[in-house]
Amino acid sequence: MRLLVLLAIGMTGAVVSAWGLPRGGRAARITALVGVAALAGVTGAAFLLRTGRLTDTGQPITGPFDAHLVVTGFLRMVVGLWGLESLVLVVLAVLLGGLPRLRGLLPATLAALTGGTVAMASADLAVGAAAAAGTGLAGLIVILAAQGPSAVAAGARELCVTLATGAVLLVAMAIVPLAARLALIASGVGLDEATETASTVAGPALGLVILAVAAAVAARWGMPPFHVRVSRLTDLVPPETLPLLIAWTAVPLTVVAFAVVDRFIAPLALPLDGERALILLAAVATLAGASLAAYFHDDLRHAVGYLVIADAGLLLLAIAALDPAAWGPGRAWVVALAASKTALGAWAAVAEDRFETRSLPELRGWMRRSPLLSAAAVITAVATFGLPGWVALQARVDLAAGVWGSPWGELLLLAGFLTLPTYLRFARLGLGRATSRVDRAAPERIVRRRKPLESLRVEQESPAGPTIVGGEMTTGPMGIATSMIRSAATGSLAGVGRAKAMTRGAVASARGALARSSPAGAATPGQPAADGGVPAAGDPVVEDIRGRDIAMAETGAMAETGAMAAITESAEPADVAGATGLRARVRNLSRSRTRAGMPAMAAGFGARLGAAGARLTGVLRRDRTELLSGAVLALAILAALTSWGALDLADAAAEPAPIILSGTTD
Amino acid sequence: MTPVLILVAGLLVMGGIAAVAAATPRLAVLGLLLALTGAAYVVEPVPGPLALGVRLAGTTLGTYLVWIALRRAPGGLPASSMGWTGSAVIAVAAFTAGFLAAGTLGAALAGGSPEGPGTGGVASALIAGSLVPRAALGASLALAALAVPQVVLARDTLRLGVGLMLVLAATGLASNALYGLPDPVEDLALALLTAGAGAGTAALVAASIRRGGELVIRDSLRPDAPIRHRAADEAHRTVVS
Repeated sequence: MRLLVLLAIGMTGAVVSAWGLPRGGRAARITALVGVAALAGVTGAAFLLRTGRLTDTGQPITGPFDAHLVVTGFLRMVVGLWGLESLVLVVLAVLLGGLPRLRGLLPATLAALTGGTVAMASADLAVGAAAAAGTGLAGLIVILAAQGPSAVAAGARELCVTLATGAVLLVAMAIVPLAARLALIASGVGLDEATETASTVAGPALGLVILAVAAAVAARWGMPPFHVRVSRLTDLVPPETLPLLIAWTAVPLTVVAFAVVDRFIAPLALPLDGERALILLAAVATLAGASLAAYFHDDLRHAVGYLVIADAGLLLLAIAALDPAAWGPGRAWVVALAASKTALGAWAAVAEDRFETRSLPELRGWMRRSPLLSAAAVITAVATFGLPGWVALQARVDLAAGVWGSPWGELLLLAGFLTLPTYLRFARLGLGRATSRVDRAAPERIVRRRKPLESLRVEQESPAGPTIVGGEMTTGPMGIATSMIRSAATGSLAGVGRAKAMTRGAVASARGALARSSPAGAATPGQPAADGGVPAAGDPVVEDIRGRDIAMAETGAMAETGAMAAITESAEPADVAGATGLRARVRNLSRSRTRAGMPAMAAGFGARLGAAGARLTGVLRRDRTELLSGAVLALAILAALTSWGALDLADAAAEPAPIILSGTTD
Repeated sequence: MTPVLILVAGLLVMGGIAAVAAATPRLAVLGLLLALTGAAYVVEPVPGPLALGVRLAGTTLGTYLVWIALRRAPGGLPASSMGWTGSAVIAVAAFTAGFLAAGTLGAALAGGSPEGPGTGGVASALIAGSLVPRAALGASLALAALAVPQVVLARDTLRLGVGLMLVLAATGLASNALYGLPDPVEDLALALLTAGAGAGTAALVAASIRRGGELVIRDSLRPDAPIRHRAADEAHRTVVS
C-alpha cells in the first residue's frame, strides 16, 4: 500500500507541476509548492517502505500489486536517496533562478522518480524494461522547456536513445530464452539436424544479445560513440538539471540491464570470450577517452559531462564479467555514481552562477573566495573515488577484478582513476591567483550573525542612553518606537506589503515626532540627542510607547486596528501630517477588512504566513551565496555517505532482485 | 483463424510502409495506427479481450496525441528516403526473410530430444509449426527494416517518432513470435510505453512546429541546414523537373 501511495503522490505531483509551472504567476507558485510537497512526500514514503513482509503463515505479502511490484531494500535506498538529492537540487534551482528554473526540473524529477520506482520494483523484467524506457521520457520535459535553438534536435536524440534502449532490452529478453534452448540442443541432446542448426545460431545469438545489452547501457549513459548527446545537452539545459538527465534517469535502465544479464545470460555460463573482450575494450576506451576529454576541456559543463561518462564506463565491467558475483558491486557503483555526480553537477552549476563563467581558466582562484564550495568539491572528489573500506572503492576493485583477473584487473582499476587529474586540475586552478571574474564575485561570508531585532526589545530597559547597533538606535524611545513598529509590522494582520509601507511611514513619523518632542532639540536617527540626553522617563510619549510595548509582549499578538492605532497615537503629535495619513490608512485598512468579512483567525494566519514568507525571501536574498554553497555541501555529504556505505548500500545492492515472473521455468 | 491473422500481419506491414513513405503527416499517422493496432493481434493463441483492449487503448492514445500535435503542421513532409516503391520492396524482402527464418528456427527447436527438458512454454506455437508466429516474426523484421533508417537517419521529427513507435511494435511482434503469449501485465506495460512514446513524439513534433513552423530537425552546429540534407538528390530532382 505504501508503494501505491508513493506512486500516486509522484504521478499527481508531476502532472500538477507540469500543468501549473509554465503558467507563471499564482498558479506557478501554488503548483510549485504542491510539487515540492509531492517530492518530499515521495522521499518520505520511500524511506517508510517495508520489505520482506510475511503473512501469519509465512507467505510473502503481495500487496495491491499482486507481487508484480515488490519492495526491496535496494529500492527503498535508491528512491529515498534520489528524492533527498532532488529536494536539495530543487532548492538550488530556486536560489539560482527562482520559479522559472523549476519549470522543467520539478515535473521531470517527479515523473522520473515514479517511473524509476516501477522499473526497479518490478518482478517482471519486461515490465521493468518498459518502465525504465518510460523513465527516460521524463527528460524531454526539461529539454523541450529549454530556450536554445537546438532544443528540438536534443529532444530528438533523447527520445531516440530512450525508446531504442528500451526496445533493445525487450528484444533481448525475448531472444535469450530461445537462444538458451538452442544452446542446450547444440550440446547434443537433440537430432543431428537440429544440433547442427542450433550450434550455428545459439552462440552468435547470445553474443549479439550481450553486446546489445551493453550497447544499450552505453548509449543511455552517453559513452562513446553516443557522447554527442551528452555534449549537446550540457550546452542546452540549465546546469542543475544535468544530474537528472545524464545520471538519475539512466539508473533504472542500468539496474534492469544488470538483472537481464544476471538472470538470463550469466547462469548459462557460455563461452562468450570474444564478446566480453569487445565490451571490455569499450569500457577501457570510455574510461580513457572520457577522462582525457574532461581534462583537456576548458568548458566547465563539458568537463563535468565527460567526468560522468568516464565513471559510467565502470558499469560495462559489470556486464562483461558475466558473473553473478558482479551483481552487487555493479548496483552499488551505479548508486554511488549517481550520488557523486549529482554533487559534482550542483557544484558546477553554483560555480558557474557565482563567477559568471563556464571557462575553467577564468575560474582561477575560486577556492580562495569560496571556502564552503571548496569543501564541497573536495568531499565530492573523495566520494567519487572512495577511501579504503568504503563501498564505492570496494565496488571499483570488485568490478575491475571480476572481468579477467590479474593483471587486467589492476590495469582496469588504474583506468578507473584516470579522472583524478581532472579533479586535481580543478583544485590547482582554485588555489591559483584569482582572476578579475573571481575577484568581483560575491564572497562567502561565514560570520556571526547579529541577534534578531525582536530580542532587542528586552534590552530596551537600559537607562544608560541609546545603544547604537549597526548604525541604528536600538534603545531609548526612538529605538522603542522603531522596534515596536517593526514588530507591529511583522506581526500585523495587514499583510506583508501594506505592513512594510505603513511601517516605513510610521517609522518616519515616529522619528520626526520624537525628534520634535525631544526637550534638547532634534535627534537624528542613529545619533544621540545634541545634548547627549534622551527624553526623560516620565515623558508621556515614552511612557505610552513603553506601556503598549509591554502589553504587546504580554499578549503576543495584537488586534489589527488596536496595534496600528496605538502606534499612531503614541507617535503622532497634532501637527505631524505623516502620522495623520498613517491613521487614515489604518482606518481604511480596518474598513476593508470588515467589508471583506474575513475571519480574524484566518486573516491572522494568512498574514503571518505572508510575513514569514517575506522574512524567508529576505534571508534568501541576503544569504544566497552561502545557501547555494551550503546546498552543494549537503549534496557532497550525501554523496560521501553513500560512498561510505550509509543506508546499508552494500547489502542492499547484493540482495537478489525480485524476478519471479519472467524467464523460463526449466 | 490462422489465415485471418496472417492477413492482419500483411495489413500491418502495409501500414508500416504508409507510415514511412507517406508524403503527408496525417497519412503517416494513419499508417502508424494500422501497424500498431495489428501488432497486438498477430500472436497465437490470440490474447484475451482485456489484453487486446489495453493494447488498443495504448495504441489509440499514442497515435491520437501525435495526431493532435500535427494540427499546425505543414501540409507536406520532407521527401522520404526510400519512397513508396523502395519501402515496399524492403518490407517484402524483410517479411520473407523473417518468415523463412522462423520456419528454420521452429524446426531446430522441434528437433530437441523428446526425453530432455521441455521448452517451458517458449515459442510453443513456433515449435508446433503454426504459421502465425512465422508471420509475426516476418512482420517484426519488416517493421524493423522500415523503421531503423527513419531512426538512424532521422530528418524530421514526425518520421523519427513514427520510426521509434514502429520499433516498439516490432519488439512486441518479435516477443510474440519467439516467446509466445505475453503476460497481461506485460501487455499493460507495453501499452503504457506505446502511449508514452506517442506523447513524447507529440511533444517533439509540437516543439518543432512552435519553434520553426516545420518538422525538420536542424542540427545546432548548422542551424540553417537540416540533418543529413541530401542536396544532391534535391538538385537532381530540380534539374529533371
